[in-house]
Amino acid sequence: MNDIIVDYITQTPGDYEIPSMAYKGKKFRTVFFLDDFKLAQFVEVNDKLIRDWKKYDKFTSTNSDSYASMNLSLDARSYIAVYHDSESVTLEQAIDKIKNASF
Amino acid sequence: MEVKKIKIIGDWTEELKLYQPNFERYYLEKSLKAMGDEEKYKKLNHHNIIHAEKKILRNSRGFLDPKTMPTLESLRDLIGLKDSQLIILKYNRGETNLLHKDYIPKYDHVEREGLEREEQVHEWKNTHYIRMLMLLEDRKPGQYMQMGDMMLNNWDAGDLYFYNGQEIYHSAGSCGDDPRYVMRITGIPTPKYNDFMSKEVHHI
Repeated sequence: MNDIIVDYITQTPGDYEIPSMAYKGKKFRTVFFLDDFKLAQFVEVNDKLIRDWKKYDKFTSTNSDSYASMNLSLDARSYIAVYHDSESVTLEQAIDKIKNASF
Repeated sequence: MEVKKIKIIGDWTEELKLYQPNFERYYLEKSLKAMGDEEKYKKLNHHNIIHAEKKILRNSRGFLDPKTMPTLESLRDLIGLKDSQLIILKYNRGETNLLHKDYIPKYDHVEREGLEREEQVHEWKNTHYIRMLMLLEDRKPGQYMQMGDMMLNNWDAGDLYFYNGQEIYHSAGSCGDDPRYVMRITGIPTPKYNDFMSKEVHHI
């Protein structure tokens, strides 16, 4: 699956993503959470707060949605953000993309 | 009741433009020297230490000027706390106050000359003080606050939240384009304060 763009992101305490509608030219953005939710870890899409996620849960937004996040907890949180045109994407596809990346 | 909300109705838009970040955080160094107990200091200042060690940006703080900010200053009498301290907190983009409980340090008392405050310190905390927060502007994108299990990304100017910050964890921050302004109110409860808290809406 070559049409996806994958970001692996770790937010340490205080890190953030500014409110954005950047979809890297793709229709969708899917976030795979890599840790369980902790209090004060803010993630929002179109002003709707996402919280209480479990490790490997995912959330998809479309390129008409704004998104932002800010980690106000004392723990780091990690996630994979995948930008894609297909209706859905899997964590395995994202990991394969990372493994096969050339730097 | 973990969090109580009260509405303050008034217009302080012009007064807020006069904000000055003139209240530094000298209390941290003073508290460390006075405490002389490194482990206790680290426990009470856990989030402060993380802020300092990781160079995580903090919000700035500023005194009220009663001459140029009379509307905001009128909150002092309206709320009726004894030895009250009213300061404005400003969060620019990237500035935070990470998850913590308040310990209201001994050396963070005096707001300005003429407003000396009584000290009743136990374990380097002023345990008899209470604290509340009033949002000074409507919420803008990228602004957040959390009190206990309540995580907020929506509020209006004049929303005033009371919670026991010495018992429940809380945090705040902004990653948006606009600064986030909050009034922090600290003081000792009185019968007048109890009357203030019994009403849901107040006008200033």
